[in-house]
Amino acid sequence: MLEGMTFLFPWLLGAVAVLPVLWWLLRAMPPRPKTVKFPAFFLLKDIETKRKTAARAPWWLLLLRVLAALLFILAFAEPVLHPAPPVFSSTEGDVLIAFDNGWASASHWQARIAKLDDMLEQIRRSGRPVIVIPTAPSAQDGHVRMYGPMEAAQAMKWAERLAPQPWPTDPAKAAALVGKIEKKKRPGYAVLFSDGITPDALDSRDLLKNMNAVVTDSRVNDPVILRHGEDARYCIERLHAMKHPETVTVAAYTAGGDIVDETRVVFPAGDKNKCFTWNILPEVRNKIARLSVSGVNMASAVFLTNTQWKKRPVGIISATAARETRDFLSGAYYIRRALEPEDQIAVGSLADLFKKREAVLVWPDSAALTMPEKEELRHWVDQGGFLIRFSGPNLAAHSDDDPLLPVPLRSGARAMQGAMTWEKPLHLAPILAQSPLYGLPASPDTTVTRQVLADPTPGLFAKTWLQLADGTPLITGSRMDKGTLVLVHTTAGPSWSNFCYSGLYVAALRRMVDLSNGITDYRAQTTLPPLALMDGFGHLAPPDDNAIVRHIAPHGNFFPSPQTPPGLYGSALDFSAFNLGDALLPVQPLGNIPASATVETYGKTGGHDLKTVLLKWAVLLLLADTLATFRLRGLMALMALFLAVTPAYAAAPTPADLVSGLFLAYIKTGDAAVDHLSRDGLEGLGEEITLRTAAQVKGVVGVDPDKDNLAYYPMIYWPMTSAEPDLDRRAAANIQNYINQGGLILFDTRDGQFNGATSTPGLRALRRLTRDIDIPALAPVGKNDILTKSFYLLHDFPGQYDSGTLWTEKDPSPLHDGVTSVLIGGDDWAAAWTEDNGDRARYPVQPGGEAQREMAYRFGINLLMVALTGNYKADQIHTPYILKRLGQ
Amino acid sequence: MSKDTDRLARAGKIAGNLDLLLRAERVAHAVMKGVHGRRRTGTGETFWQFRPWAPGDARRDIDWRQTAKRGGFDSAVEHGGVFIREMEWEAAQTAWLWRDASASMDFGIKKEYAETLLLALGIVLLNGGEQTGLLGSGLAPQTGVAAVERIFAALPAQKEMTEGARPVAAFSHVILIGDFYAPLEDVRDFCARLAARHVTGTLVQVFDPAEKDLPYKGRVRFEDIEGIDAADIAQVEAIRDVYARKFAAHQAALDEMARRSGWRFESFSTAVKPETALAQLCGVLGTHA
Repeated sequence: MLEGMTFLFPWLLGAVAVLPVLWWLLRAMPPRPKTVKFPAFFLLKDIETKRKTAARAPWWLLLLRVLAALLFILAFAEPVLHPAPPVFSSTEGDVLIAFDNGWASASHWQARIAKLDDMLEQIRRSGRPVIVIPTAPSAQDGHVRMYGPMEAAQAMKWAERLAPQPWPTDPAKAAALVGKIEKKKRPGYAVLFSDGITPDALDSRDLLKNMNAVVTDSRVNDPVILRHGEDARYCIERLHAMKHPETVTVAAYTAGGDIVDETRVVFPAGDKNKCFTWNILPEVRNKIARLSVSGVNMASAVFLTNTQWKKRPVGIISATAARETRDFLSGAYYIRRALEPEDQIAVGSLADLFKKREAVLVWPDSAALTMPEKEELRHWVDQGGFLIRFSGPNLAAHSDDDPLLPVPLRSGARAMQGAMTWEKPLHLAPILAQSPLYGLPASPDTTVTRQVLADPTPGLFAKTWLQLADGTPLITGSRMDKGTLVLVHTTAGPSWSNFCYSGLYVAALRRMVDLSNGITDYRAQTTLPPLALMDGFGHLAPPDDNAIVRHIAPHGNFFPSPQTPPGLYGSALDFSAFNLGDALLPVQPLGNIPASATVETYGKTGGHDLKTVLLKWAVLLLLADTLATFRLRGLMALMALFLAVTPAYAAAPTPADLVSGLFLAYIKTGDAAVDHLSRDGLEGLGEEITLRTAAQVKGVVGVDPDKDNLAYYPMIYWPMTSAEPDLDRRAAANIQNYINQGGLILFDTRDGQFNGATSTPGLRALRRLTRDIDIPALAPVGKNDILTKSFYLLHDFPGQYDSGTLWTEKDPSPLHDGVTSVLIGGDDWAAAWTEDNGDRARYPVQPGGEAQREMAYRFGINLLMVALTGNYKADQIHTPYILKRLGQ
Repeated sequence: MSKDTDRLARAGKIAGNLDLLLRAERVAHAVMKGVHGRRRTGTGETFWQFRPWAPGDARRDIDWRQTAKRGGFDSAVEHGGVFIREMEWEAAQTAWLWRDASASMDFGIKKEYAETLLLALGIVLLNGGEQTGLLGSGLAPQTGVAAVERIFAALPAQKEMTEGARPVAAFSHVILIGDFYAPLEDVRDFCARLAARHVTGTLVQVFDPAEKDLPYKGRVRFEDIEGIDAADIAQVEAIRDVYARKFAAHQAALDEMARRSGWRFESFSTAVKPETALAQLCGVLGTHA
């Protein structure tokens, strides 16, 4: 292995000659003996010792020191293993570097830049000029440009500003540029730093044929594309098939950058594509600003959401909810079917729906409303509501005095194809460009047999969203103060037309629901200005003033380019997202590299520097020498003392420790952040318990239900996280045993901020993790529960949040003296209990502030008291009666 | 700030010292449980025993009550079963305490041990009604159990082995606690001077186990306590036996010296529990007094 080793400063090796002298010197100087101050010295003074000669340093100590010196000499001679072949010193002329900096190059960008620096350093040593061509169009002018010829040192400076661009490379233009340079003056050496993909085989071949070397590496060239399909379908695409299955985490972020949900996808071995369904809770979904593949800093792995992406809860007004939605003839059924996959639907009476605060109300004609109700609805629309009203016999009969119409109607309905008419059913006219529904797919088969007719007033055309072939409006809409009122001039169900069977029906309803938020003008915007643009790593930033970025047309095809980079376009209230991942074609790995080109990897070529390794060993030897000297001088006790003062909590408590005192426990979830929070929280709580009560908490232990005996702990805190893997049978049995034996587990779903939602990540984790555990029937903690008075008198049990509901066993087993073994809540208590080193709280508590934190501590103390004393305090409640009886 | 830390340091020191006093009290009480007065008839106030009357006893010494209970003139007992009440012998003696405060005591727990022993001894003596003083401190001999705190307070003032401002009266008892590593002559002179005045005394040597056993190994450099002189011993194991003999010889010399003045010599390793040491000392003092 040493044949490839050279020294940068070989003359330093001459210092090795000094080593024998060093040996002799060290041998002559023995280590200092142990010194003792001795009071009875006068007795010792006169004792003759037989061996008067000074002891020598032991041979192994000498060897240690000389070896350390040798290593130092070797290290400073700077040995380099396998130095780079001196390519650049053998040929003449410029060095041409083509550097792929398109979207795919964001994958392991640091490795690319390191390799580039490495190569520029070699070029610098050979003293040759360098030309660099980034193959992606420049963000300044949209052209592929060449930089140089310049000095390598200058190029290194220039390379610091190089960044991946969120659009594809243009190999054809780059090839043309290379061709131009070839014609002028042939460069001595050309190398391509490839991103590993080929958008077009022909273009890339032109570029490749001029190259002496191609740097490509499947480890570095590992782009990830996140595509959003229909509804909740997402696909992850990669360049190379994986050899082993790999778990990929996709996280959903709010605009503030907080993770609100995440999902794990197992990327199977041998596949380049993986599609998955991810149903996000509607309340959460509304908050999401971006989805991205965790650990991948690439624009292509980010999916931005737009304002229209947000789901709006929709209410369907119905007098008889149960019957309406199951009846194929009722309008509510079709409305529900159209909207249900995307949106949250509620069906109920107007009063119920008002309570639920829906964004959109749909009013099929079958639900008859009283006049006060209509007035109330009108008021709701004025306040910013969006009402979609369908026609039918009711409206046709009572259209005269109706306050909820966008356009005045003629009384009665117009019927075609009736027994008394000879008119044919009418088809739909093409959608007008001014209509908010413009751009939806046409529906040529739709026919309308009955409709309510609008009075042909002057403003009618502007309010018409959809027309029949004869020009009569089918859908009209109008703004009412802050809100919007839309009238469909036929029924929601099939009785007046087959509109409800068409794709347009679904698309139009969805478009209308989308419109329900913040759109000020029906007129579809023709172009959208850039609002925030993505860089190559997927970070959003406001656009530069002098950038060449154009306005972009909505609903058009999107091609990422310097003129239209991916990002958000529109206004802050209403923007559309244009995502790189959705716009990219499937990627192909770079093939047909010409045989004349050598293939390099992104690994370091500059030789393996042994200096640091040698220095490290030399220092280690010196450390060993110090230790040995300490030992010889009897100062080991000093070392032991030093080791003893290092924190003792590093060691896990032994079972003997555990039985000697009170320890709080939490379940280790495998998510380091959550575990850390649990530990900190319980430590904070333990401090308060020790301070305020007779219970002395000795420590906090993280337990693994798979391995650890849980019997030592009076109570266990179990935060729910999707990161925790499923419990195996042994772990489940262990926990079951703990519950059966009367232990107390506090399950914390940590989702109190969603207040009452039914499918949060925490609840999902809870369901998943407790699948094999027999949890008894639950009920909310009652007013007289022991938990409300075991130490403090409490009414509620807040943590970081105050969602209010804490669940306990409905009928606790008499075997446990009627004390619950399970408590389930979602208020993230650990976060409220956490203190930093200065005893200050570390996480804000909402909404109650410090008073709520105090309550959180009190809850924790009550909880421990229940765990320790059971129903003792419940008995105490009878004290007055007992005393009374004793008195008599 | 600095004032506060000063005060804190002082408080800590006082607490540490009080700790010493408490320990001494504990030691003393452990021993006092087993000591019951002088076990000798005398003119004290404590009841000692009843005994049958014998010719020569004063009439006022007869305990009539006891006689009525146990004896009786009709009994066949000699002298008519009359009982005499005897009180315990009590004679206040003056005891002077001294402990070595020199640097050589700062080895292991020697100094602390010596002070504990001194204070415990003080408590026992005061409890027994003796006048107890602190040699060379300027403190007059004290009586009453509470005086131990005054002795404790005066302890830092006591340094050299001298009589100081208050000379030792004749027929007092002097208890010297230290390691006696000083030249033998100094101790001898002091003892002889006192012995000439009919002062009795006890030398109590306190030593660290290491000073006796020399438990070091290999090459060790020994320095005297002032750090002036040093000896480099290449192989401590080799001289261990020689040293042990020299140590024993030194102790024997001290014992011999004490005996010659009519004094006693006792020696305790700090490994011995102070309670044990105190009990032994009390035994010695009891026979002496």
